[in-house]
Amino acid sequence: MKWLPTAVAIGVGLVTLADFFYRHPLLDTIGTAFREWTILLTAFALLLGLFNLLHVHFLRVARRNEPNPGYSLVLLATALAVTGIGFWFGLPSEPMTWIFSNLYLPLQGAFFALVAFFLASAAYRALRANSFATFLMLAAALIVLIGQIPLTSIATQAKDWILSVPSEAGVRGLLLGVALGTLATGVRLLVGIDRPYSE
Amino acid sequence: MSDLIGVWVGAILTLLVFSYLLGDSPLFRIAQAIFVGVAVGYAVNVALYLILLPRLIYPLIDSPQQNWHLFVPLALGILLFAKLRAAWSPLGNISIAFLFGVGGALAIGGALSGAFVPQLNATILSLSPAQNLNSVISNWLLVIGTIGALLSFRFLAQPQRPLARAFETLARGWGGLGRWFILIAFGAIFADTAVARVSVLIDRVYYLLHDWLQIVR
Repeated sequence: MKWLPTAVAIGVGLVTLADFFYRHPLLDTIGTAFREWTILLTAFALLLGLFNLLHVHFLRVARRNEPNPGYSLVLLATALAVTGIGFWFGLPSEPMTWIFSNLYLPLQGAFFALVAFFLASAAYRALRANSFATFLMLAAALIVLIGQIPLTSIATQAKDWILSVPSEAGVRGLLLGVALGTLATGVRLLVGIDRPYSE
Repeated sequence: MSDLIGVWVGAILTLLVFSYLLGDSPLFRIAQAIFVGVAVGYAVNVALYLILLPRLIYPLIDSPQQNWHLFVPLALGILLFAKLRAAWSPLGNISIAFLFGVGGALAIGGALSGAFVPQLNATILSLSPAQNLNSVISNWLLVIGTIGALLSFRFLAQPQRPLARAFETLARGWGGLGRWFILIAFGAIFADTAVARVSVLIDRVYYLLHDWLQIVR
């Protein structure tokens, strides 16, 4: 039965790809169903991943020789409390909105804000590397940063030019490279050369 | 009252996260654990209330004969949980294969229609000197930079034939030039990220000073 996952991946993939490029009522119906099933399966996969995360932290608490089980205990307690409140009151409910606004959003905002300090530290360390490559990168960054401030029209024009010409060219090259890589990986999956599902 | 408690909870959690600026501490670790816990709990509810219940469970309970095709994702979803036990793990491969099959096909379609063709179209520019000087220079730089950035990811051994060797030397030189364009792009992305993060930092500080301490009006 080892061939079954490969057959499923190739069959389902080719039908979805055909639906992407050809308009046919039967292909449309099957393609739409496959995409809908993928959304449902992704939700199941998310639940599986979350269950696994909780299982790992439960084991860390249960085994007495693990270092710092207290953090895992906090994680488990918070996860179970939020899950339980959601099950009891429903997702569009006042308690869940309160949790989202007063727990999730401040924490997410603070973690994102923390990155500002790491970026400043990374820029300082890059300056100390003292090479032409870092100079070029930081010069571009500085011009884009200064151009955001409405001080002089020259700075804004310089920023606009960097974003629309040299930076655009670099990003476009990167995007084309990523697209080619994605195409190659997708084709390898669909012809059965890569089988990550069989591991 | 619940708003006041909410502001206090939010402010304390923000301070716990900012405690990392003084070094890695248990306060920061607690904030990390709470964040992951809340995110897990919220994600479980989103998966259940926004996807599984309205799109799978309710339609199957209401009219199973009309929605018989939904038994397939239900079966595949249950098979996915076989991954939790090593002995049953191969059963879950079918569900994973389904996800990879659809995902691979959509990735090919998306890469072609969403990135490859539009970016290629945007790079087909007039290099004629008949237009104004600014456009000519910008268009030349865009074309040279795009091809150079693409060539900078080309890693091949030095060929033996003279013509191929000449082509390889040209491609390497052009790729080296393309790397400069990539560095400028990274600089611009770095600046944009820094601006976004500093904006969030200002919002957090404003939250502490305005909503919590009420020092700033």
